[in-house]
Amino acid sequence: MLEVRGLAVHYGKALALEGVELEVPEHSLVSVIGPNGAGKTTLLRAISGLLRPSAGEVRFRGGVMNGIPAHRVTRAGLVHCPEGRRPFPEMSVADNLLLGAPLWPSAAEAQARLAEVLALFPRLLERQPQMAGTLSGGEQQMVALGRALMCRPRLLLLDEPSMGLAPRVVAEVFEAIGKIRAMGVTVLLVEQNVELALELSDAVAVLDHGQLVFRGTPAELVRDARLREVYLGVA
Amino acid sequence: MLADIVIFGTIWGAIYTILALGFTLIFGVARILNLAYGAMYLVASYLIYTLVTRFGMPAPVAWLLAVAATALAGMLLYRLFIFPLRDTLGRVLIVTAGMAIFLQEVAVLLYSTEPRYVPTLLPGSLEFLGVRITHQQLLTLVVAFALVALLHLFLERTRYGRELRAVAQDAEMASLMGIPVERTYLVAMGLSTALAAAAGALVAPFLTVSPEMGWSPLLVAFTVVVLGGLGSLWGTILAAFIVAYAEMFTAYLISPQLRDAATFAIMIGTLVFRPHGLFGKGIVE
Repeated sequence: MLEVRGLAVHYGKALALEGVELEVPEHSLVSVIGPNGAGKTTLLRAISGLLRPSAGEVRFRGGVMNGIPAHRVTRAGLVHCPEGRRPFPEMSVADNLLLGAPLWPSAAEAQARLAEVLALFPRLLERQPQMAGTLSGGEQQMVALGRALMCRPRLLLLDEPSMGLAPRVVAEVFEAIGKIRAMGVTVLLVEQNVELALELSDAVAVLDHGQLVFRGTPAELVRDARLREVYLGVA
Repeated sequence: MLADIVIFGTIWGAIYTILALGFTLIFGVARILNLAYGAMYLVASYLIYTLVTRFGMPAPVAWLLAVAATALAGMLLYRLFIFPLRDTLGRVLIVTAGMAIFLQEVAVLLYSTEPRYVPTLLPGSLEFLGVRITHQQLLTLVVAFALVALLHLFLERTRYGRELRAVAQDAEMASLMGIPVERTYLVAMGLSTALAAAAGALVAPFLTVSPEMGWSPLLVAFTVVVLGGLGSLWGTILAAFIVAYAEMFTAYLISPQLRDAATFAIMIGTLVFRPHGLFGKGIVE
């Protein structure tokens, strides 16, 4: 579904990503893990068109995505839910969610998805008239996920959905990610919480200093003694 | 005298509300401080003058045509001159100030510095509390309030209004929601210019049309936004009425020549003592 070939990104002269090769097959969940500053967020931003790669190619469902403005990438079904939740704070929860409604072929389909989103996050139901900026961190993450689902994603890029959340809320968010997969959405997940990410993943990639140092299944990563020590923090 | 101040203050407050809403709209959505904003008011006034007196068009048609043409002109100016320089606030200030002076000089060349008069849309007048109010002034009041209500409904209830608000709050996030941010800026520019043009069209019949007429509305719009803060409809309305009543008090009690001085005093006072405006969410970072 998504193929990344030889992707490189420069910030000025500094190299942020180099030679990244990644595939995300349809209906899978692929995680990208790695230390802070490894280039995980940069990778997602380059895929979704927020950054212009200096080399390489991003293919989504056969079409080349790099060089296309971000709003068109979203309209093609590649939806990026960025780091830090970023709800529109002075808009109601309902308005945040409805922003994606015009991307559906009919109003009925948009309504159906809204019902699915509210079933996934029942807490948003009563919060609908409230300004998104007044919600708790966990609720804001639900708005961010729900809002991304409203954009009709075939592939969802999730950047650190657990960031800054209490463990109980993190569990809720990951449960929701599982259900999002069950809705037929393919997921590319960037996550610091490696343990939780591996539980859900079909495949894992490890990024370090802008380069992929491992690609394989979670089981293979756990078997790799050296990587296990460095990235999983267990000897 | 008090009745004059209250009545004309109310009429001007309504006009200043639409002027300020247009100014804050393009700043809020695209972070463009448009110094050519008042020039759009000028363009609309001269267009009406030309369409009515030189082409003999019926006044209501000329009014609508002038507002639409000015909105298009504003979008064109955005695309040609502001868009390439948009990333730097300083450059936007210089290019829009240049546009304002250019349009003013074009008006001098085409129409000379002699003031022109635009016929009223509604002739006649009535007396209220001993004050003579022309029907045109009443129409201005009604249309201005209707425009504010329409703008509010557009922003709160429609898909495009929702998209404008999203872009104003976080343009990058809006683009990730599939919203074409560039096109949204262009729409905001058109709407903003249309509001300036509508204000110009509404007041042209009871003022004279002259090449330097664009500066005073720019000053007013800027002052109202400084005082009322950004993004708050009620703050803008309240600030517009404060400025209008202050101007009327000064004009009636001291001298009509000092009207702009009153506005300047409010702007400077706000920037010195309450730099974040009345409600703490100002234009000053």
